[in-house]
Amino acid sequence: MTIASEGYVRFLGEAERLGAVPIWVHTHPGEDSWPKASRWDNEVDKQIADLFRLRSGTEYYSMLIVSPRPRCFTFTGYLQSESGNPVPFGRAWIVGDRIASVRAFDFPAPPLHAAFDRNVRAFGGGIQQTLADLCVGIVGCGGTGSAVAEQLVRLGVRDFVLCDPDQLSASNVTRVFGSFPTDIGRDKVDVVAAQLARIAPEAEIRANKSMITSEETARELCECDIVFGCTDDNAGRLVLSRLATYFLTPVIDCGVLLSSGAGGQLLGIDGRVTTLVPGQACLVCRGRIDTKRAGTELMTPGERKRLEEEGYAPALGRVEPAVVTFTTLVAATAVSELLERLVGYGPEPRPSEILLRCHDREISTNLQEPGPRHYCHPDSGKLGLGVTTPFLEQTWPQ
Amino acid sequence: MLPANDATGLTERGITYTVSTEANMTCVVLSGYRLPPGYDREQADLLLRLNPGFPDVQPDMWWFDPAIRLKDGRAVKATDVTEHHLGRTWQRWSRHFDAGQWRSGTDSLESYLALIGRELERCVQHPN
Ligand SMILES: [Zn+2]
Ligand SMILES: [Zn+2]
Repeated sequence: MTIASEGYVRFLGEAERLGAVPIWVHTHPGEDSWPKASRWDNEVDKQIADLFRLRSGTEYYSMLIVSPRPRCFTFTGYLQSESGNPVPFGRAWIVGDRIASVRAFDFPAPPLHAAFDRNVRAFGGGIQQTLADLCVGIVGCGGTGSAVAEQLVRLGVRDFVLCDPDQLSASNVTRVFGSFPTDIGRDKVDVVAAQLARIAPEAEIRANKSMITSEETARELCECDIVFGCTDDNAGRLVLSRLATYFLTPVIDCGVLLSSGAGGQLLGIDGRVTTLVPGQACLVCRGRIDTKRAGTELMTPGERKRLEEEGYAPALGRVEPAVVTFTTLVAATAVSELLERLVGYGPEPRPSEILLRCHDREISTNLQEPGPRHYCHPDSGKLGLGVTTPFLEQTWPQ
Repeated sequence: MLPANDATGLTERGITYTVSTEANMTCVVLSGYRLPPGYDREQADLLLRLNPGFPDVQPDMWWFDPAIRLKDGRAVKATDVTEHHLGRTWQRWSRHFDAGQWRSGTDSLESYLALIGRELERCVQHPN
């Protein structure tokens, strides 16, 4: 069989226009087939690699062979620069309403540790393996973020990217998992990282002592398979919302709002867990971000003070009430949402937001479509666009 | 650095502009911005200061150098404050969006410039 170049050349041009790397994909059909390159496949690669690089304007050639398996698929493939050795693909990460991870044919899973026996009895070895393979970002290492981290590491996640610019204060010890009075003054990411390392010494943990509103930190998050938003700032949520669209990284964003009267009596306890996946409204479309406050949060202190004094900017810095039971409840709901998306135990259609009205002892869920003309809408052409200039097509502080 | 659609939008309209950053703000200076009839000059440099997080975060106010007034010498309301940015002196036009007026993530520099244009025309008739 020969494949005429007219069949694929136009896609190389499309890749160049997008600044993307084209992948030469073919199947080896049959559930008992091997998705490994044949001698003929290697010959084809040699023949077309230079044409692919030239016409798509990238230094990479990439190929993928896919074979069917019962209810799933298997694959091999690689990415190769002009001078370097081929870098094999280890894992496919599938993002949609459900999320799934598939290991490459030549990257078989190592045996699972007996410690996870009770998990495996609940949701099976495949899901347990996926958890072990995931790289998870946690933005915000306070009450909610530390509780998310604690659960994930006990579930079997072994690769973390933590982000938080703040230090642990005395009033944080009431909520932050793994924190002790002796930790006061330490960076929150270090406190949480130490706790994760106590539970799983082999875990890989990258701790960023900065906000994701800094471009450098935001860029680190695109390496994550999934990100938990546990920050209470509006500006950080704006970045997470865009990240979910541009990198197809599922974001599970959570928040807790306690309303208290002047005398300190608790009036309302509202928790929210919103899952950002393609086809669902982003945090902006849902009205979950106060963009005016976000603007103020990102100003230099001098500018903010000047505009606050003139009455042109909302005053920030109010200390919000927070209680460990509610931050932990919302964190557990968020981590359960990851499990549901992996296992699929819930009803369909799958809601993309869970609202916990704790004071009423009520839970409600909803689905929301992307706003027309917004970046989260499939028609915008932004879904999976990847690295752009400027990053995430927004302005950044310098 | 401006989002690509904003940069191409300005270039396509033949606008000469420079982009720089100061105090975390992305500063866009439109050289020789053409004012509508009714002002004491035909053009002035227009400064826009974009917050980090633009276009999700709305812009706020704009600035002219040199300062402009109406042809008959009257001043326009809320333009009496002078500020220093980028080593220059600017006349601040204190204009702010109402809640919901800026469509976060949909509106762009183009829609902001359209709004500035409309406001400049309106102020010729209603300077106060
Ligand atoms: Zn083949
Ligand atoms: Zn949206």
